[in-house]
Amino acid sequence: MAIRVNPKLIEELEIYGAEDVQNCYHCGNCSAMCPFSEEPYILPRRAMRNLQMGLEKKLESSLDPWLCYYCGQCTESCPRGAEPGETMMSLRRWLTSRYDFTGISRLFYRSGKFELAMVIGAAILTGLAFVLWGISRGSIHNYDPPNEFLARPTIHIFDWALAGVLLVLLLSNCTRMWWFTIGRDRSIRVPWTAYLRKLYLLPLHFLTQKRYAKCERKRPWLIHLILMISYLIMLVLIMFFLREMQGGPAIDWRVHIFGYIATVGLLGTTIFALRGRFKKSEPQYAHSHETDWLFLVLLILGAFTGILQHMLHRTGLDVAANITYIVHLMIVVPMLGLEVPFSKWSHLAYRPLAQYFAAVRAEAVARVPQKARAAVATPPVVG
Amino acid sequence: MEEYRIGVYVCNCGTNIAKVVDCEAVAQFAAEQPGVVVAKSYKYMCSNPGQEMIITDIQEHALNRVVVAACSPRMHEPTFRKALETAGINPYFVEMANIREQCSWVHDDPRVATEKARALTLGAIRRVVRHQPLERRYVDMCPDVLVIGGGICGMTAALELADGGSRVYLVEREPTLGGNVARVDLTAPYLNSARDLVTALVTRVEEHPRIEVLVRSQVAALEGFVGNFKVTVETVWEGSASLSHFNVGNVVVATGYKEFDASRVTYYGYGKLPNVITSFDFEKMLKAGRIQTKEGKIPQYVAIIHCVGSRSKEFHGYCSRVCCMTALKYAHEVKSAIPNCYVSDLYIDMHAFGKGHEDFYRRGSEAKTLFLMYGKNDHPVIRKAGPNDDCEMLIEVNERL
Repeated sequence: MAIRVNPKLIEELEIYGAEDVQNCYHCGNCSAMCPFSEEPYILPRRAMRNLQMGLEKKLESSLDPWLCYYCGQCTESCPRGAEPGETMMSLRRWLTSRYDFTGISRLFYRSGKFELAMVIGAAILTGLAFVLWGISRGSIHNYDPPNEFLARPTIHIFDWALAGVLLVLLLSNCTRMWWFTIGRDRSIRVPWTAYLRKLYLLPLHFLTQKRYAKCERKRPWLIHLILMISYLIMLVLIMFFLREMQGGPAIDWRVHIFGYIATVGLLGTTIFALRGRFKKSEPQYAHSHETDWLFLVLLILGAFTGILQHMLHRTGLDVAANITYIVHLMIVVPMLGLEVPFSKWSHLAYRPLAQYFAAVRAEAVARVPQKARAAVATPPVVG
Repeated sequence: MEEYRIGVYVCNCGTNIAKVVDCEAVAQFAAEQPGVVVAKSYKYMCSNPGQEMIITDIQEHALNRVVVAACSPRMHEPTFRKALETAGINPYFVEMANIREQCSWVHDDPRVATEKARALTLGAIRRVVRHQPLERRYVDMCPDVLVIGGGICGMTAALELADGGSRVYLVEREPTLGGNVARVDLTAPYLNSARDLVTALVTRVEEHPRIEVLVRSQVAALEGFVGNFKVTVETVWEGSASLSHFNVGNVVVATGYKEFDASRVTYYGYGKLPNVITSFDFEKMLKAGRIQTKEGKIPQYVAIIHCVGSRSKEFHGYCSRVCCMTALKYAHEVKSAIPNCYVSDLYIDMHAFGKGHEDFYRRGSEAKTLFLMYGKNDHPVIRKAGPNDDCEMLIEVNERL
C-alpha cells in the first residue's frame, strides 16, 4: 500500500529546530553509534528517513524520539552534518505539540515570543490577583500569621486546584499519546493484562530515568536526576508541608533541611545547564530552541525567588519577603500552568510513558506469529 | 634439410631468475636436446659480456639459431636481435623463453618453477627452428589523419593532432560542429557553460591551418591498410552530392552516441504523459532560460529518474556513467531557478566516482533534494494522478532506504 510523500513536513520541523535533515545520506553511522538503537527501534536513522519523506502519520505514531536521550554521539559521527541529535530533539518538541489537543502547544513552539508573552501575561495576572487578594486579607508587613499577607491554607487550596487542572490537561495529552502510538495501530492487539503487568515501569522510570543512565556519558543522567529529585522534593514540600515550610518564626528542621537540599540541587543543576548552553559545551547543548531557554530561566528564577523569600523572612525583612513571595508566585504559576501541559515540562509524563508503551507493545508483538512479525514491529501508518 | 645448430642461453638475471629457477639444471636439460650445440647459464645475458658471448659463440660454433631463456621479449628481444645481426646472421633467428615474468617472478616452489622453465625453454627450442629469415622493410606512411565526427571528442582529437603537426580531415555529418555537447546547457559537476566550451573548440578548429573541416559529409568508402588509407567522402549540399578523395594514414572514429529512446520504457509514460521529458528535452528548456510544463506553468514538484534504459535486464545492462551527475546537475538547476520547488531524485546507486562528484552530491543534499532509492529491477512507475489528487502525476517507488 503506497504512502504519499509530503516534502513540506521538513519545513514545519525546521521551526521546531531541525536543521540540515536533507544532508543525511543514510550511511547509518548514527544508528551504529547509538546505544539505544536496537530492533525494532532503529535510532535515529529511521526517524530521519521518515522525516525526509514527510511521513507525518508514521512520525506521529513513533516512539523513537522518546527513546533517545541526546548523548549527541550520532551528531558527532555524522559525516554529512545532518544533525541527527537535534533532529530527534525537534521531533520531541513536535510530538509534544501534537499530543496537546488544545493547539496552544503548537503556538508556543512555533513562536518563542508568543510563549514569552503568555508567560509574562500569566505572571502579571497572577501577581495582580495575589496582590489584590493579599491586600484585602492582610498586611504586607506580616509574613507569618496572624494577619499575614498571603494566607497559607488558601494558597494550599490554590496549589491543589492548579495541580488538578494540570493533571487533567496532562492526562488528556497522555491519552492522545497512547492513541497515536498504540490505540490506533490496527496491526497489534494489546491484552489489558499487559498494561497491568508493565505498570511498575511508570514509577520506576519516572523516579530513576534508568534508561538515560545507559548512555555512555553518565553525567547528563546524573545532573538530570539531581535536578528532578530536587524538584520533586520541593513539590512534595509545597503540596503537603506548606504550613511547616512557612509556619512562623520557629524553624522545623525536619522540613527545612529538605528545602535547603532541594534548593541547592535546583540552583546547581540549572546553573550548570545554563552555562553549558551558553558555552555549547556538550553536544546536547550545541543547539538551544527558545523553549529550552525559557524552561531553564523559569526554573532558576523560581528556585532563586523561593530561597530568597525564605532568607528575607528569616532575617526579619517581612515586607521584602512578601514581595519576593509574590514574585515567586508570578514565576511558578505560569511555569507550572503553561510549561507542564503545553511545553517542555510535559516530558515528565511522555518519557516514562514511552518506556511503558514500548514494553506493552513488545508484549503485544511477541504474541504475533513469527511470520507476521516484521509487518508490525514498529507503529505503522494507519489509513 | 638444413642442419640446425642451436645455442641456448639461460639467464640468471642476477637473482631474479636464479633465486627460484635452477638455471644450471635448465641449461643442462637444454644441452641434451637434439640440435643444441651450446647451452650455457650466465648471470646477465643482456649485459655487454653476455651479448659478446652470443656473438662469439655464433662465430665459433657456426650457430644458426639462438634461444635466450630470460626476461620478457618486450624487454630484450631487440637487444638479442642486434647481437645476432652483429654476429652476421639474420636477427629473426632468436627466440626468447620468458622464465622471469612468467616463471620465477610468479612462482615460489623452486622445483615446480624449474620444471616449468625447462618446459618453456624446450618450447622455444622447438619453435626457433621454424623461424624464417625475415627482412625489415620500410614503408612510406601517410602522416595525415581522418577524424570521423565533429563533436567534442572529434574536435579535441583533431586539435591535438593538428597542433602536433599532422594534417587532419574532420568529417561531420551535421551542418555544424559540436555534436551532442552543443545540445547541453551546463556541465557537471562544476556547472560550466557547455556552449563556451564548444564555441572555443569550434573556433580553434575552423581557424586551424592544418585542419580541413567537411560538414554535411559522411565517409562513403575507406580502402587500403594501416598507414595508407584511401578515403572517399560524400558531401550533400542543397540537393547535390559531391565526392572528395584523399589519403590518410590513421583514422579516429569519434562518432558519439545516440540517446536511448525513452518511449520504450512504458512504465515511465514518455510520449504519453505530456510532462515526462528526457534530459535533452530539459536541456532545451534550460538553454531557452525557462523551465515550464507543457501547459506553460512553473512546476512545483520535479522528480528526476536515473538509469532510464540502463542497468536493466530489459534494455541495457550497463551503467550509462553520466546520468547520476546529470541528475544532480538538474536538481541544482531546478532549485536555483525555482527555489521553492520540491525536487526528488530517484536512483539505484549514486555513482559519484570522479573528481568533484561527491561534493556535488553533498551540495545536492544541502539544497534540500529528496533522494529516493529504488532496486535495480524494481523500477518506479509513473502514472497519471486521479481526479482527487492535487497534482498531475504520481510516481510509485519501492523505496529502499
